[in-house]
Parts: sequence; C-alpha cells; structure tokens
Amino acid sequence: MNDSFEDRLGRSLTELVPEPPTGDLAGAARTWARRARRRRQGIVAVSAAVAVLAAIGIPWAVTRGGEPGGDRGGEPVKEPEVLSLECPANVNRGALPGKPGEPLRKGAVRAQLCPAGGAGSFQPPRDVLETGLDELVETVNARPFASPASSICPGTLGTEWTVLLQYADGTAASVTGGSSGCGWLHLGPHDHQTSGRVREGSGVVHRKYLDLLAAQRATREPPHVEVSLSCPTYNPDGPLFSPAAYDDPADLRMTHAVLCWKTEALTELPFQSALLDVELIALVNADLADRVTMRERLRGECVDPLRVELVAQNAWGDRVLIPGSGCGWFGTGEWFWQPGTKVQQRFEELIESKPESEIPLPTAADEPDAAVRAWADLVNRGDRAKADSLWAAEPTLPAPGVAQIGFKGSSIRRIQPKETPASEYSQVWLMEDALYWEEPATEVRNVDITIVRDSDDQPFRILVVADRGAASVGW
Amino acid sequence: MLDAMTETGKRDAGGFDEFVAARSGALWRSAWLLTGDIGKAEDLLQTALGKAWPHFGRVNGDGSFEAYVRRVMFTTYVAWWRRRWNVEVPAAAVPEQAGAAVDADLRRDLVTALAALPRGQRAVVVLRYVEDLTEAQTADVLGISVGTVKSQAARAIVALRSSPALAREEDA
Repeated sequence: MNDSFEDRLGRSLTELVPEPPTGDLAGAARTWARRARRRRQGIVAVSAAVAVLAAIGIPWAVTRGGEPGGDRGGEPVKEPEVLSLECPANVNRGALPGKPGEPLRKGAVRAQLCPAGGAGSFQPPRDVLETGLDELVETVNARPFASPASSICPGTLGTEWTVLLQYADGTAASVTGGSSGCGWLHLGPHDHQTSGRVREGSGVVHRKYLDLLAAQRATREPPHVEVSLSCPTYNPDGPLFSPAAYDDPADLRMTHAVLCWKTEALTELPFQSALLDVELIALVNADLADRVTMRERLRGECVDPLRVELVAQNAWGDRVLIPGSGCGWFGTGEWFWQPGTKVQQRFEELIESKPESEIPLPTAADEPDAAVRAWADLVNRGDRAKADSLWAAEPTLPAPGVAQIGFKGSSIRRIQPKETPASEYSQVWLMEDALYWEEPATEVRNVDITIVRDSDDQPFRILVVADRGAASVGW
Repeated sequence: MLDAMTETGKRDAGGFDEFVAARSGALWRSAWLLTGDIGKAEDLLQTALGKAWPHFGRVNGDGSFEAYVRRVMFTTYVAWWRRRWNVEVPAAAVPEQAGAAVDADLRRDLVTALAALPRGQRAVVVLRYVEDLTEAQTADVLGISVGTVKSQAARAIVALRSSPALAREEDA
C-alpha cells in the first residue's frame, strides 16, 4: 500500500470506534439543554414554609404503608421493634463472643449482622435472623481453612462485618468477615494478626446470611419502622447502605424514597429534595427490576449540570443511597441503572417543580477565595448585578457578551502591597496562577487575583484580576 | 435572548432530530476517540448536542450546524479536563464491537497510545486524520493557531509511530 502513515492512522482509528449508542439522542440533548437553561435562569423566591418543608436533613416519620410526608396527621408513629441482639457502636474484635477459631455450634436461636469497621460501614438489618441458623452455621464450618503464610492479599479496602449468634442457654458466638484483603473469616475473638485458624470465603457466608434473611422476611410481616431519609452530606450522621439492599437494588423494594439533587457549581450548594409518591415508587421499583445492569457502565465521572441521587428505604427499614453517576445514570460501581422514560420524566418534573438553589453571597466568615467562586457562579447564572457586586473596583471581567466562564483556583496567600490601589486596604490576599477562561473560546489564561477587605466584619471582594498570559495546560 | 433561542430550537425540532439521526454517527466517532470510553463518549456527545440545540435554528441556516456542534464538543472536551472533578481515566478496555479487522491486542495498543497523548494532541489527531479537516479548519474548531496545529500534529505522529498496530500495517 502506498498510503501515508497519516492515512493508515486515520483508518485504524476509525476501525476502533464501537457502534454508536441507540436511543433518542436528540431528545436527550433537549433534556440536557433544558436543565442547563434552568441553571442559568434567575432564582425565583419561594415561601419560607415550602423551603422548610423541603429542607434537607430533617427526617420525617411515617408508619409503614402510609404516604410519605409526615405531616398528614392520623396514625401515631410506632417505635421500632426492640432487638435482643444489639450491634455495638464499635466492635472490639478481641472481645467478641465465642472461642477463637473453634467451629460454631448448632442450635443458635438468633443472629444479627453488624458492621465491624473497615473502609465502609453499613446500616445493620433491623430484624434479627431467627430461621435457618443451623444452615448458616454449617456454611461457616464448611469453609476451608486459609493459608495466611502463603497468601498474597490485595490491599483493597472493603466493608467488615460480624454475625453475632445467640444460643438458648445464654451463650453467644461470633463470626467476622469482610471484603478487605483476602476476605478471611475469623471465628470468635481475634486480633488483626492472622493465625492458622482463619477460613476462606467471607463472601459466601455474607451472602448466605442475606439469603436466609430474605427467606425469613418472605414469611413475615415487616415491623413498623421509622422512616428517616435525608440527602447525603459530607458528614453523614450514620451509615446509609444496608447490606440487604446493596448487591441488587431490585431487592430493596422501596416503600419510601427521596430524590436529591444539587447544581454543580464552584460554590458548594445544598441538596434540594422531593419525596417520591406511591405511584412513582412503584415505577422505580419496576424499573430497578428491569433495567439494572451489573456491568460497569461509566468510568470516571460524568459532568452533568445536576448531581442527582436517590435515598430510599423499604418496609424493613433498610436504607440505601443510589448515587447518580451523572447524565441520567445511577449506580454504585457494582451495578448501574438508567431509569426508563416514565421515571426520567417524573424525576424531571420533581426537579423542575422547585426553584434552583441560590448562589449565596460570601459573608465576612468566608475565606477570601469564596468571593471568586461566587463571582464565577453568579456570572454563569446570568446574575451580573450580583456578580459585579463582588468586586471592590469596576469589574474588568468577563469580556462583553460572554455568558459562561470557567475558573480553577490555586493557592492563596496574604500579602503586604506597597502600591495602590491594593495598599489602601488593610487585608489583601493574592491568588496566583489561577486559571480563567471564557466559553466557547478555548484559550485558558493564567491570572493573579487580588482579593481585599478593610476589616474582619466585611466580606472579601475582588480588586484586580491580572492577566499573566496563556496557560499551558494540556497542549 | 435565551428564551428566543430556545423557541427557535423548538420550531426547528424536526430539523434537529433529522440532523442528529444523520450525523450522530460521525459525531460519536469523534467523541469516542477523544474520550476512549463509551460512557464518557455518550456524555460528551449528549452534552455537545444539548449545548448546541438552542442555537440550531440560527446556526443551521447556512448549513454549518455540524461544525458548530463539533466546536462545542471539542471545547467541552477540553473544558472537562480543566474541571477538578472530572477524573481522567486511561482507556483500558477495547469495546468488543470494535472493527473485527484489527487484532484485539493491537487495537488495545493503539487505544493506549492515543490515550497517552496530551488532550490537545489527541484532539488534533482526531480532527486532522479521522475527520479529515484541514489545518486551518482544525485550528478554527480548537481555537488555536495553525502553527500550533502543525506542531501538535507532528508530536502526536511521532508518539503514535511507535504503535505496533500501525507499524504492522507499515510492514505489510
């Protein structure tokens, strides 16, 4: 062949491309555009009462089978059932019940699955296991012994758990496992040092417990449980994942759920939320049963104007967070779910039913760079008046006609300027080599941003943005 | 203004649908080669179409809407890199649907070589050698100078020449 290297390159690259996606691409694009448009539009004031009802982090209580909402009056909230096996707040592995390494005895009357540390925690099932316990014991005792000395375990982080078993004579035993490292089973008390009596197959025992629990639940009425759903925060006040719902979300069979969403912005904004009504919950349950795939759908993170997540609970009190992976997909890394058209439409309606969170103006308590982030967010929202108010001098950016800007901050330090106008302020901070660009222009500029204020009770303002020239990023 | 543009977009919804049906395959090709990942490529294509859709009625008048979408796609691709939360993940898996004419190991090698290029070079390669744009057209889409296109293309070619997938064709 006489074609050039460039020709062969083009041809080879073209051959690599997989089949394009099927589906309504044009419709998806219009949905994306409407979301982006909402993001840019101004903020509509809402009544304080509605805002309070929608506030995140306020749990509401309902009884099983009732409508979510908590303000309907009527039936009083019932206390959760009291469990005879309580999960300890912190599992002391050296003080767990049972004999170290000894096989478990049959005849246990109750068992409880509890979190035991590790990288991830989880909400323990609220109901104890009372059926099939001999089967569970047989499964544990049948696990082969491991060979710690010759094993090379990956350094993966995982969730650790303990099953506490209670016997009719008042004695107790325990088995501990997890998904970290080799996933070994420890019977009874133990420390982190491996011994000759650890066993393989934590996953088998964990799965067995959940299967037995599911079988038991199929024969019983669920207890009355308090519904406590809130959107995720950076510092959640408790574990959210329930192992009973983790492996396959279709098993959750949610009875209550709240949709959480927040606009991606440089300023950290709170989640907004809306309860799903009974009809939508039924749709979601059916959708999860039909449309979940166990393969990894997305690597990395999709950039979507909205971050959307679903927090749900079932009749047994299992709670699960179904994180949105962006652009209409939900998933945990173990499974992925793209809601069907009906569910997508209902989610859109819920999101559109509420005005977007306002970009808060920086206060005196905020760090200097908060002024820059808020300014960029306000420019991108189209609120130029508020954006301009974050300048201590006449704004010089963005260029006339530019509606969208990008900004990536850098380190910031306090300086003592000798020249005006910065020297006229008592507190002057300099952010050097930040990145600034305007869209759709592609050029990225390095900028130095001077941020000032005169006293601690004033918010910081932008004084000067000095252009240091084109940035060399990725080119 | 935005409302007006959106209304224009609505009026031309049929035309937009036809455009997507006709050209999404070509746009998909660029999106996948830029990202090396099916999920990210879908997101990039959807985002580019979503950003461009409100301007369909205005831009498509002179038949230049595809070029407009391409520009939006490539600038979005570059902008995603700048965002801290968009973690770059090297392409690891070659989709099974990829052309059967190329051996899987060699395909993986070429994907790896492409993924190893800096984003700007990757964008230049896709536009110049897959989409067959001229240097001037490539410069226009990326908002850079023709000289930069030349230099980035030259560096990319040097890097890609070491790919066994291409070397094998060269030997053939």
